[in-house]
Amino acid sequence: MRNKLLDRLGPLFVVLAVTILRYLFPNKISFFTEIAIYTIYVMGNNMLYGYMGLVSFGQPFYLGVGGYATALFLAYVGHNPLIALLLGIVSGLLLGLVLGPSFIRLKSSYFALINAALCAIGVFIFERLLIDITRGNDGLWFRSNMTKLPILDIRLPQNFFIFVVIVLFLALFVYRHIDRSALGTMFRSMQNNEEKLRFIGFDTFKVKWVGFTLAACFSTFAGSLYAINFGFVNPSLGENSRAVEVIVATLLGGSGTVYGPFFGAFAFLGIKDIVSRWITRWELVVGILTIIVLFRFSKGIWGTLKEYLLRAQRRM
Amino acid sequence: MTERDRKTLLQVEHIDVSYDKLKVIFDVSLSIDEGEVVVLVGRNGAGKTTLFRTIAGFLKTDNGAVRYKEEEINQYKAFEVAQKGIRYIHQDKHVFSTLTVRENLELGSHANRNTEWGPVFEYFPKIETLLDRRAGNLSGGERQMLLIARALLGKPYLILMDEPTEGLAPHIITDLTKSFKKINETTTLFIIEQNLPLTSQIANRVYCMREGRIVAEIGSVEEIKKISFEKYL
Amino acid sequence: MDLALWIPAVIFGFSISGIFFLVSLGLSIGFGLMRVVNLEQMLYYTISAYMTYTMVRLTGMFWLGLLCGVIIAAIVGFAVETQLLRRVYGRPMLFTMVVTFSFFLIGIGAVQYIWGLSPKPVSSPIKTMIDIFGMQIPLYRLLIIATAGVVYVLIQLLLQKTILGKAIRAGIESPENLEALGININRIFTITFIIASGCAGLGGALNAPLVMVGPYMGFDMLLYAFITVILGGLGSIKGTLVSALIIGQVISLGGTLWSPLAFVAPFVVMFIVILIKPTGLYGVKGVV
Repeated sequence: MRNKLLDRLGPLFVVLAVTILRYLFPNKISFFTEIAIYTIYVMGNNMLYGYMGLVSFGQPFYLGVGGYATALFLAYVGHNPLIALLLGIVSGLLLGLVLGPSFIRLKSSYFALINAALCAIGVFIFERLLIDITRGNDGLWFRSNMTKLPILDIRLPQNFFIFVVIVLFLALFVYRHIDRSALGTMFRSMQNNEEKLRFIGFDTFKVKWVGFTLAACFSTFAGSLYAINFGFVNPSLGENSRAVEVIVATLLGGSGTVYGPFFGAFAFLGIKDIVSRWITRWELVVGILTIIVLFRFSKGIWGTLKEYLLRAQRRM
Repeated sequence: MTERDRKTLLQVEHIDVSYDKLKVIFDVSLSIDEGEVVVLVGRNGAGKTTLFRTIAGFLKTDNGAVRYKEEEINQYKAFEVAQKGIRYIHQDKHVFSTLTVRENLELGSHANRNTEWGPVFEYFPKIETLLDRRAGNLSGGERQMLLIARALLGKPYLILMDEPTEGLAPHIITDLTKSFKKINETTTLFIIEQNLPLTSQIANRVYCMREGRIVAEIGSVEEIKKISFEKYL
Repeated sequence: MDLALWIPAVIFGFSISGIFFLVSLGLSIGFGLMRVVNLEQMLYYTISAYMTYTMVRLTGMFWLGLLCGVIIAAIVGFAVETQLLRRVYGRPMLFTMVVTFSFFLIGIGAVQYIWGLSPKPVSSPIKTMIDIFGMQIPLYRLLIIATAGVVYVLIQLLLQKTILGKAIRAGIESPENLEALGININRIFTITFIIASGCAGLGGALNAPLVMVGPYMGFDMLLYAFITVILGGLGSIKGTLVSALIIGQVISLGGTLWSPLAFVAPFVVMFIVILIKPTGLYGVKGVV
């Protein structure tokens, strides 16, 4: 009984938690804003890894594409941030539709690597090839071009936070819906036994394609949000070297779950924030963390929490 | 085969084996005496290969014991079991195809540094003519000969053969059967076979396996020749 | 066709190929034999380069530094194989990839701790230039090419003529069948790994005078090693050599045409190859 209520209000709880925390720590507002955006980014990777069992070493590419799509629009074409964000999602849609068919055919290690290659190519495109419009490493500024939205002037950090939190709520809602839907079931069955699913008559190719596209959309959308958050993009958004961070966050939170990305984003950014104050060698911590999570903690934070909750429920 | 005072070479006692929490072998016990040819029959999926892999050390038992010459061997790694004198010929019938026949044999004799290949060539004279052939270019019958020759070079006490006659032409099977009899003079054989007429020709004893259990043991040659196995499969 | 530009570029390309070959061997064999994609391979490359730097600072002798680098790299490789990799054999490929990469990150952290963040210069041990067709070519680069060639020959000799090599080739086809013959497969894995990490170390030491010895040097090289191995086919030594030759030329000649190409062209090549023939030019059959 209680579980159903918790269940239904899940996204609300998450969003409330973030909001409360932000007001408790007013000087950390950018931190919490980033958590919300990063959650969406992790949701994208979670769709690939948790739902479809695919590792990608090139997720920053999608961040970059989304970010630049938004930035280029606002810098050269229009002024409405909402349209710019929409463009971010659309760019993900296009990437998913175009790259999907060739990428999803690949076996796991090749999928990981082709994404890494794509990421490097992406950096090249943003940094060099299109330097005339992207301004390469100098970065592209466009904050001054954004206009106020009807209700909320998201150019102000406080308001942008509220905006992002609402977006997160909607994203979680959509994500949860996917998880509960037939599509979610198909993802899970596919991980279990893809052949069987095909024999029953489902087109697993299309399922994978849809999953890949959704993942791309979430990731590019996160990139767009990053862009608007900073009012600025540069090629480092899509750099290879940060590729493993989103994988760590996915594992940390609990892969294959709806709220895992949130916990993962929170934990990862939180740890990064705390640790980087004392240790400059951030990589070391990421490495140790990942190994601990993989060997001892494979369900991640949310996965483990869920188990406790279930066990506690059964006792009642 | 004369009755003689045979020592027990292999004793399997009440073992259960699971693949990833799925139990596939239930309370299996059997014994193999020195000098015997014991055949294990059963349908596909009955667990025969799993049993062999367990004896060879590739799988660990959940409980029970696998005793070879009185020693519990399931704790050992597969290569250690092979070094002790049990050679398992894999069901996948894999010869190292990018290596020559000679190199395959070299690997077979490496563990015990066996340089006497003569006896093996006596069993399979044809192998001696194929030494420089790439193993991947062998025919089915030649491949099976190589597999057994490779195993024999280790001078094992016990050879576990997993469906040795599968897919081979009848005249090759006849030759192979003759070889088995000769090999048996010095080596104990435990063979998985689906070929029931062949089984009646070569076996001293037969175990029947169904759905992970031993359901019958047929102990004498006369019975083996008379019986119809189908009811146990 | 200005020969003046292209001849040095080709030779330059071969020297890059030499380094890539040495550094990628470990990835290729590691995959072919042990079915692990061991992403921490570049750690041996990095450690060896740093070791070389330290020995040069202490003694001024580059070749001693190189020797130390290779030995230390092999020792670290030994430690990693026996302690870490043994625990992950048989696990899903992705698990291993993430674990080994995390270990790589830990190693980078350790390197930063020991040597600090700033790049370390290592001067070339041989500064002489050789005249080839009227062009000045650094002798050192030719030395690298020669070294890689010698290593290739030695490895082929090992694989074809020694029983260890035959066991490795057999193990690449089927480790279980090898084990069934009573051969200690763990020892084979370990020895192979020591050789592989030693080669990566050799690549690191040789490359130290040519690139910035910095904590992140392994990152860039990892991607290139991957490209080399994917193009050549995981598990094939010959494939690694051929693709190293190709990639070296792509980088060098491409870079001569338009300098940004030096960075991106290999990735484009990898991208295309994965799409057309994921198993690479000489990929081992039945392998992911």
